[in-house]
Amino acid sequence: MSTSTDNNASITQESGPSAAVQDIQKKIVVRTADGEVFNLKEEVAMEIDIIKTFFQEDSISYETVMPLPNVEGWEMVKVIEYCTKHVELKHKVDGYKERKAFQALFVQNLSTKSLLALTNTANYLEVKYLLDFLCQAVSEQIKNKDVDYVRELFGVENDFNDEEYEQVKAEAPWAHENLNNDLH
Amino acid sequence: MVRMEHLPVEVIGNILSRLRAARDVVIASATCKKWREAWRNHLHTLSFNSSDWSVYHDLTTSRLEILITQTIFQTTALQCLSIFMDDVDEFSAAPVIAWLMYTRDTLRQLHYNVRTTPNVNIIEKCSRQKLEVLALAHNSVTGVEPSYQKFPCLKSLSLSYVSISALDLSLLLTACPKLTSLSLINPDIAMSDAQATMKLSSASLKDIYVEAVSLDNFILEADTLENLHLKDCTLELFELIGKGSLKELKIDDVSVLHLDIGENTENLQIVDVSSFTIMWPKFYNMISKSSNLRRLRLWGVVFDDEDEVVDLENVSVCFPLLSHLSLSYDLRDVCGLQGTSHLENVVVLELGWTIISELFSEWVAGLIERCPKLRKLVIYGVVSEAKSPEECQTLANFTSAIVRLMRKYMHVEIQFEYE
Repeated sequence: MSTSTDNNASITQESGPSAAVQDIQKKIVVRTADGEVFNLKEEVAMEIDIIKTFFQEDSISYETVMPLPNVEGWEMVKVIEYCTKHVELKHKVDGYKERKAFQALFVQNLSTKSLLALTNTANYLEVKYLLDFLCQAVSEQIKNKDVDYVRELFGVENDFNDEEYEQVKAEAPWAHENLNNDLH
Repeated sequence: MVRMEHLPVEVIGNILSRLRAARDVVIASATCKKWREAWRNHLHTLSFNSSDWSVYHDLTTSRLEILITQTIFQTTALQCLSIFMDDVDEFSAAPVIAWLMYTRDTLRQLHYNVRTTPNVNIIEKCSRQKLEVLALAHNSVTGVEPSYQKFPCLKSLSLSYVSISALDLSLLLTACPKLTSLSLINPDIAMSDAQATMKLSSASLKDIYVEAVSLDNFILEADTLENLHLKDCTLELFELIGKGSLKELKIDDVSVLHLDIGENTENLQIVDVSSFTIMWPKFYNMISKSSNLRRLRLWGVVFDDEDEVVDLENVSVCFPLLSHLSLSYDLRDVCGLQGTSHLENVVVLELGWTIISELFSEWVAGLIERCPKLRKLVIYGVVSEAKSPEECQTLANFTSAIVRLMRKYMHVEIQFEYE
């Protein structure tokens, strides 16, 4: 772990295309809420705006371990996974199919609770494309459902009183009337 | 674990915006106060598409007008609005104008495909300042005033089954300085002079798609055009005036007597022509300087002069970088296989017949021989339902011939597609 100073020194001196030396990629270290430490490749770390902003401060060196108290270890793993793929696909000309396949797998085994947690984390970490993708994934789960289903799925408490709720329904009677019996 | 309540209201707005379908969004917004707030203040995309909800089909037009109005009026910063209702004959002008006026300040994308009665000139009433995408169908554009009706941000314009005069269409393009993509599908273009000429000009256009247009003369002036796609058009003259930026030319089921894409074709990479009567020498002349051509497809083409044929010698000399070659036309005695130069970079060959003949397998053999780097061969055939004994025999002979042939080229992947 004591190579970080060497890395800094060698990178600043290195301006020519000596590939062998460039192999020593700068790493950025973060620590999540549960104490787990992650070494990120610089190019992946820079995809995460909150990390990017943190290290752009002059007073902060790359040796600093950035604390992420609002992020769980498992979430960081997923974020790194997504951002790494995103960086990889940036250089590919025709990555559409590959991206779609990756995205499908990425959310495949995530419970709704986990999906929501990850969405929140993506928002906190400020990774826009990941946030947008996760919001899309969440929205797919509530297509063509009724109010009770949505509440239950997301663990949302109904904080309207009866009067308020009637008013809400009155604003869009067309949607709330059971005009068709094909709803869940 | 985070519960939904911990998600910031903007993120919930993002989720609702991706949900898009109005009925789903309204239902979701009724779950709790935070969701309601998200719907009110943080929703940016809303759609009323007939495919979203089967119940739309059962509602009367006036009920639909009311619900769309009620819903839109409850949002505050709508950026994308889509009203795509295939089974609605027409909406009344008043509600449509109300929807457009209400969203005028914030709208960036508008998709609208329902006829309006009496006609509303959507171009005049819709948001202009921030609009980036406009897709209109089944409406009439009754006048364009570029001096005060500008679309400074419009990138994509699509007009389907829209009535517009040639002059207005041309004026509309001048009002869109950043337009990169134009799609014209089955327009009803009114002409003023006896000779039907339409001249369009755009300094920013990159893609144009034109379908089902019938005109005498169509002149397009576009210095940055990269993709030109014409489908099902009947034209006497089509002329592209540009600076040689064209990369892709696609012509499908088009009848045009004079086709001119300019002298400078060095950026052309893809030429895809299908169901076309081709005057080969003239056409060939048009593309012969495209030394960067990567893909050439001549499918279901009919040669104007019976003796014409695609001369592979010329093709290999003029298009050294060609990697994909697709040919399907009625073969004559002369197959165009004279000469010896190879198609050095062709990796994919697609060859098709509509009427199987003995010549075909010979032709396939000759072509494979000319492609030393070939990796994939796809044979497209049309098999008629009622097959005479002769046809069956010909097909069998063909199959045997191909099997024998491909044994010599074991490294080439072969695929058959029959319809």
